[in-house]
Parts: sequence; C-alpha cells; structure tokens
Amino acid sequence: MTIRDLFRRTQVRSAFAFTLIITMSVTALFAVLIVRLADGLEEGVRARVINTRDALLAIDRRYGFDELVSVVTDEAESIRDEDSIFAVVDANGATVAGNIRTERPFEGWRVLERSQLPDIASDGTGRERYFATWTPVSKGMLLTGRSDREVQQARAILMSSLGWGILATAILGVGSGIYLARGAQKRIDDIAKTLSAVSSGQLDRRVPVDARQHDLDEVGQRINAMLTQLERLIQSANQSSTDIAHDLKRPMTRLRQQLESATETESVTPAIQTVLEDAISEVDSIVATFEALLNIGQLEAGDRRARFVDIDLKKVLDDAVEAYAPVIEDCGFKLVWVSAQAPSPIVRGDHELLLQLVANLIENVLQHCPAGTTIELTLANTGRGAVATVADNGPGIPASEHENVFRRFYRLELERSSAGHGLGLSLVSAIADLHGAAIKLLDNNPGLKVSVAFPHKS
Amino acid sequence: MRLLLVEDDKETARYVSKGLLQAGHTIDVVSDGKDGLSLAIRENYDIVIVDRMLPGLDGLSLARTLRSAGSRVSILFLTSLGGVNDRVQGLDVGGDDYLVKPFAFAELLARVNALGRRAPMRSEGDVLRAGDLELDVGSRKVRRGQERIELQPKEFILLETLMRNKGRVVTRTMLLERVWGFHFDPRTSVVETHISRLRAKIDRPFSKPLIQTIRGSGYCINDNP
Repeated sequence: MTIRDLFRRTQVRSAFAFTLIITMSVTALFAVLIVRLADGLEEGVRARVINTRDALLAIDRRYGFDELVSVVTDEAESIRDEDSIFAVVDANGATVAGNIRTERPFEGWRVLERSQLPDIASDGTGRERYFATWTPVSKGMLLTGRSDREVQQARAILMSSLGWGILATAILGVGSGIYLARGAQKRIDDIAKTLSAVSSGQLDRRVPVDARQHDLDEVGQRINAMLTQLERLIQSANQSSTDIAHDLKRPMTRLRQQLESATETESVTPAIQTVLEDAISEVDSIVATFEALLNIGQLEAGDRRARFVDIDLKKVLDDAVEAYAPVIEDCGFKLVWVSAQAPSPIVRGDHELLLQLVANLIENVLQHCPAGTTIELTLANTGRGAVATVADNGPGIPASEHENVFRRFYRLELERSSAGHGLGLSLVSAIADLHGAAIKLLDNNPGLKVSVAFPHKS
Repeated sequence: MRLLLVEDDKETARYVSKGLLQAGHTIDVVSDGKDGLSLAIRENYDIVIVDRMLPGLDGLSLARTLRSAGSRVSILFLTSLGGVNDRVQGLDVGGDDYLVKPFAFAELLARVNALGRRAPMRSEGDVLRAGDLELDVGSRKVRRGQERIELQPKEFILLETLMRNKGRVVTRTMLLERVWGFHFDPRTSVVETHISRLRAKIDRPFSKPLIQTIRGSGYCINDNP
C-alpha cells in the first residue's frame, strides 16, 4: 500500500476529516478559554493596582504627602515586587518619587508598553504591558500600575498546551485512521483476491472470516455463502453434463460399434454399405454437436483459467495461417496476414483454445463466403491491449443479426440447410469470454470483420 | 503386444477386444477399476486402455496411482468424457493418449499401434528413411534418391510424423493433434490439403508413390508400397 493508495482509502479520508474537525473544536475551545481567562486575569491585575493605590491614598490622607513620597520611594526601589510601577508628581508637575518618570497624567486606565518606560529597573521580557491609572493626592498626583506578566504567562502556557494538544490529536487521529484503514483494507484485499481466484477457476477458495464479527466479516460470510452456492451450481452443472455424457454416449457408442461391425460383414452389398456409412456419419455429427455443447458449458464454467499461461498471440495466428493457408488457396480464397509490430502481444490464455478461436473464424469465412473472397487477418497492439481481427470482403451479415450469431444453434435464414451444427461462433464467444476478451462484429464495407480485443496482461 | 482393457461396458469391451485380437495383440479385459489397477501393477503390459468412469476406482485415479507406483506403461484413456478440460485432466495424471467415445475402431487401433512402438526419444541426429526417401531431423533436409526436396515447416513435421510411424497408419485426428496442435475437428480439409501438397513434392515427380491413403482411417508411409 503506497502513500498515494493510502489517501484513496475511505477510512484514511474519514480519519483525516475527523482529525480536522477535532482539531478545529479543540482550537475553538482554547480560544474561548484564552480570551476569558485573559479577561479575568487582567481584571485581577487592575484590582491589585487599585488595592495598592487605596493603601497609598490612606497613607497620604493620614500621614500627609511627604510620608506618601517616602513610602513610594521605598516601594519603587524595592526588589520585592518588580511588577509594580509608581510615580508621584507634585502640584507643579515635577516627578518627586517612583520608578517611572516619563508619563504625564491621564484620565482613567491606560495600558503602557514596557518600551515606553525605559527607566524601569525590573528585568522583564520586554514585552510586558502595564495597567496604570493616575489618582489625585493631597499635593499632586499618584500613578499606580502593574505589569500583565502573569496574564502573558498564563496565555503562553495555554498556547503551548494548545499546540501540543493539536499535534497529539493529529498524530493520534491520522495514526488510528491509517491503522483502521490497514485493517479494513487487508480484509477488502482478501475479499478481492478471493473473488479473482474464484473467477479464475479456483472454486474452492473462500474469504477468510474472523470470529470477532466486524461488519466486513459479515460481508465475508455472505460472500462465502454465495461462493458455496456458486460452486455447488457449477459442480452440479458439470455433474449433469457428465451424467448426460455417460448416459447418452453409451448407447451412441454401441450404435456406432454396431454400424461399424455391420459394414465389415461379408454379405453387405455396396448399396447397404453406403447407407451404413451415411448412418455412421450421422452418429458422428450428432456426437459432434453434443461435444460442442458440452465444451461450451465447460468453457463457461471457467475453471480452465487455472491453466492459463503467457501466450504469444502472433504465434497463435501464425499457427492458424500455417494450417489454413493451403486450404484457403485451394478453395479459391485469398489470404492477407498483417502481424503486429514487435514486441508481439502476450496475453494470459490457452494456446489450444485461442488457436481454435482463430480457426473457427477462418472456417466461418470459408463456409459463408463465395470463392474469390479475401480473408484478412490482423494483429495489433493498441493502448488498451492486443486486438486480433478476421475480416472478409464477402456478403457480410446485416447489422441487426450481429448480436444473434453468437447464440447457440443460430443460423441466418438463408443458410438453414447448410452443414455444421451452428455452434462455431458460440464456441468462439465462449473462448473469448474465458480470456476476458471483447468480441465484436463490424461491417467491413463490404463483408464482415470480427474483432477480438484482449485485455492487458495483468 | 500385451494389452489390458479396463472397461465396464460389456459390449464395448467385447468389440474392442475382438478387434485388437484380430490385429494380432493379446488382451486382458477387466471391468472394475481396482482389479484393473492390481493387474496393471502385477503384470507387464505394453499398454493399459482405461475407461474414466469405472466401478471400484475411476480411471483418473487408476492412472495416477499407477504412475505414483512408478509404472511407465503406456496409458490410453478410452472414455465418453470428451470436453476440453476432460482430456487435459487425463493427460495431467500421466495418460499418454486420449480417445473419446464413440470412436472408429481404426482410430483406436492406430493409436494403440503408435503408442506400443513409440519411437525412442527424438534425437537431433536422426535420419529417417522410407524407401529411397530420406529425412534428416537435425539439418531438416529431405531428399529422395539424388534429389533435394524443399518442404514448408509444417510439411516437414507432417512427413516426419508419418515416417516415425513407418508402416503404421496415422489417422487424420492424430495428424491434426500432432502436426497442428488442433484438438478439435476442423470442418475444412486441412489434413487432406497438406497431404496433397506433400505428395506433390515427394511422390508425384517419382515413379513410386510412398504415402498411401488408408480409406476411412488415415495415411501410411511404407518402404515398398
């Protein structure tokens, strides 16, 4: 399973979607938390500023301005509380105490940036902000303020928690997604493998089913039930073919033996001899029809696929041409054989059956076309696989009949009386199906063109 | 040759054994698969002719057991199972030839003869002779008397098949299987056409034709026709 494959899996996609949704919810939760917490903490900072201010105002009221200046000077120099800022200005506006000197009085609350207050002794991060307010005192003004370092610390902790939390969520989400996907995918692959094995003729293969009863196990069990049913049907079809073969062929065999023995009797006259020989060929023709039907049945059952090997299609057509070229010539037909450019197409298949397919198509032309007809065989490599065609420039057949000719025992109206069992093209069609090849009849203007398109060897 | 026929149909067994006896072979007949197997192991037969559907033990199992017991006797299946897969199964378990019922007796006889005196393993240095006709398997050259004859590849294999069975009939079906790999009966005269081409090259220009047509049976090449 490659990364690309992985992303095509339903479970992986769902895992990603879930991870995304969870990440978004967690982020939203944290955002609300941070905003609310920061608000609360800032409120706390202001309250502490007001406490300090009230204490200093009390000193001012009780002990006078000079005592206030003295206390503020002490506080400002203290290292006990480096987050507080103070300033006292006298009635003339001159700074008389405190650890900041740059601020002019203002109304209400203000947030002062650390960078605007260069004379603060405390060694903060440099990014602290100070919540500050001015209050009139007996002989001037007092500034009290406090840094939001705690607020920032709390925010930083929350932000890093959020970061790690999201990372953990993502890893867990994607990881569990892939884990689940692999589990499910393995089962789906097992099912797919089993089904291809069965369609390639290994009828006894079954989907492995786990007793833990996952949803896919249930699917597996139903598929297995279906396969068992299928196997039973195929076996019973094969069995009945076998039974019919046995039951019908036994009398046919005896009949033929009796007829053959009769021809060897000394008292047989030439006239009776002819009758007997005709009867024997009738028996052979009945048996041939019968065998053709059984063969189509066996081919349709598909277990022959288990024997498939790599077949060079050009070799198949070469063999057919070698066998038929003199026949075609002697019947007064012409043959053209256009083979594919190298490399010659390789398909999974059965040489014997493919040879029979081509032979049947050639014989079909010989049987249905007048002398002088040209038979053209081609083999081409196309993007979608190898295509073999057998074409003629004879009378052709109407497009409306194209579908019908593959039906068993079907014959065109005008040739009801001709020889053959009418199963040749059914057999061709069964062989093509067995190979997964698409067979098509096309108008050759004039004549008929049969194309057999093989799938890519995979 | 010593033959064993394992066949449960009495009438077919009688017909086959009568014909093969007339052809000069000795033949034992049993109708049960198990009896057939023990006889085939115990006795030294040239060929075992076996039906596939038998009481006791089916023909496929009989052949399989015989092979796993190390027997190299020739096995010919004579059976009504004639589907494309059936023959393959028969050859898979170690059968040497497969003939489907109903059959012409001449076909069975030709196959029995071909099996019994199977030519030794084909070797490249072989030179086959029939009368004054010479076929060199290694160099793929054919000459009759002093004259070189050029043959097409399939004509060569056709002649080689006939010459390896010199003096014995090779049927049309056997030729289809062995020369062209056809396991079906073509509706056109593939064999006849190729034989007539071959004759035109090796027989017609000379006084004595070597390839004989055996009516209702097949072809035969002889030293002294």
